[in-house]
Amino acid sequence: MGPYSKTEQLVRSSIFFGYSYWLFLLYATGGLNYFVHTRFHNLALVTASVMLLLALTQLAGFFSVNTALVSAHEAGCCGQINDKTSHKGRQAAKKALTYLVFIIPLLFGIIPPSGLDPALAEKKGLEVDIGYLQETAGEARTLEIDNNFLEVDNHNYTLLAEGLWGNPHDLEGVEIKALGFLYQPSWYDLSAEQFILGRYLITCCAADALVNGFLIVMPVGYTANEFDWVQIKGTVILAGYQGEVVGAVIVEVYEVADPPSDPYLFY
Amino acid sequence: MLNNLITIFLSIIIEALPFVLIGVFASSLIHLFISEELISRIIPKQRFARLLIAPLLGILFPICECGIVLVVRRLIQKGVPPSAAITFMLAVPIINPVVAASTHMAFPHIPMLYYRMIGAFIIAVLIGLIIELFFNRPDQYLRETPQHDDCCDRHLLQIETKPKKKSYLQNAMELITHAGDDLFVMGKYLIMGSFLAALIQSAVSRELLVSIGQGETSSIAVMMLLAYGLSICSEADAFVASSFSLTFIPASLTAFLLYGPMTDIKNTLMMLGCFKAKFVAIWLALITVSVFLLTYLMAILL
Repeated sequence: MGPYSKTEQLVRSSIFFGYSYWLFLLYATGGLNYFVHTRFHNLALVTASVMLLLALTQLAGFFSVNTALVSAHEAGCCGQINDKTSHKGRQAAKKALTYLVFIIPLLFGIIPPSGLDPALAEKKGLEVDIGYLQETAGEARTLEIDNNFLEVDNHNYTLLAEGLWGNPHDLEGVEIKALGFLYQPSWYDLSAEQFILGRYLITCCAADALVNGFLIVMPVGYTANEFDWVQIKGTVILAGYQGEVVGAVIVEVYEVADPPSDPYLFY
Repeated sequence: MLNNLITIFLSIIIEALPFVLIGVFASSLIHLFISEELISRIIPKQRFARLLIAPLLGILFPICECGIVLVVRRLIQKGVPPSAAITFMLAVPIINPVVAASTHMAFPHIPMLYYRMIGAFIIAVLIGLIIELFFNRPDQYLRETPQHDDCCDRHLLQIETKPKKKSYLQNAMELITHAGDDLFVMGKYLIMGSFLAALIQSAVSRELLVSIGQGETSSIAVMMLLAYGLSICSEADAFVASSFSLTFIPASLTAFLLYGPMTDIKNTLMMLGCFKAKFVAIWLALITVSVFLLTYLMAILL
């Protein structure tokens, strides 16, 4: 690429400023939580800073006395300098396409982030055994149940799910309060009242999200729809499913809720 | 679906950008301040030792696959045996600290880092050995006059004439400008590849992806095709690959991570600009067969 006209330097600087501003904004507002694991947040901050540096460098070129920056390409790469009009036209088109490609994510970035729709769950699949993830993360593997009651949050959601699928006897009779979305995987043989109360589990970014959750049984006559977010309260019972004994939560109270501001589980 | 597409698309970009930036700055540092003479001095003269050392030079010189073609051409012109230069070209875009870091970050729960590094070393040495035994004359490779459009798509190398002494600030400005240039070249493939990956994730049914992704032959072939077509730089491709980790077997993801940096559309065009078509065809065939066989073996054994 190069040499660069003043207009091009301004375009390049604007693109870099755009990325810098977008990433700084996501970091400051917590919007990064809708896209990537928390361990990438500081990297995003560094990226925003470097983009700012790149933008300022381009801007310095724009305001400099020299009319253009000249690259080694111009100076004699491969020993040829080709100034045919067709070559210049082709180069200009390639540059324009490159800048357009860079602008597209910024345009999408204008839309306030809201995270993955629960309806994508069907394409993501359900993971019920994330024990290997916890071993890698070095997380503690015990649920803290107080007076036979467990309030589920983002830190113990997967632990509960693993317990209900793998060691349900330890949880029989425990009262559970949890928030998740209703999901009926097409490959599970569930009745109309039976759902998975699901959350997206992220290991790196939204692209690798999978659904983690546990069986619940909604009360007869419930009015929520699949993929609605619901806050539930219920009691764990033992149930038979495909020849296995699993834990399921009999829902006594439920309420359709808004998606939380931190919808993902991070591991 | 649009919301999911956008979310996944942007998530891959946000995740991968830091590593692309590290890569462009590292590459620019090398291109501006490290000469091919230094690289050629480090490569051993002994016939088979150089095949084992050349793939590891990426640890010192993390050159991305965009810049490696011209570096290799210049190495051969300066007398480095083609076998060593080709081995260098195949391995250096993969076996380097930046790619290692991004691969590890993208696959925290699968030992993909080891699969990738060891796989790259084996394939690079194997192909280097074949070239050492059968194709080791520079006249078998190099075009007399490189094609301008393909070879010089972007400025990459130090020019041969001695540059006049620059201040630290001038060097820093030149480095940052070069890095910005490289970011536009490499970043566009990341963005396009991320978009395609997001489209597949949000539009294609899981059943179809699983049916392709769980078969050894189909999954490896599809991933190699995807890697060839997407032309994503090796610093960022791990994040695109990891988005398929739920539906494709690890061996196919390894194939993606080996094949892409070794050859892709962009790289093939650059090769054709600097090397003879017959050599490029042989090189392409060797890489394709090697990657497929190695990862197929991996799929069977793991």
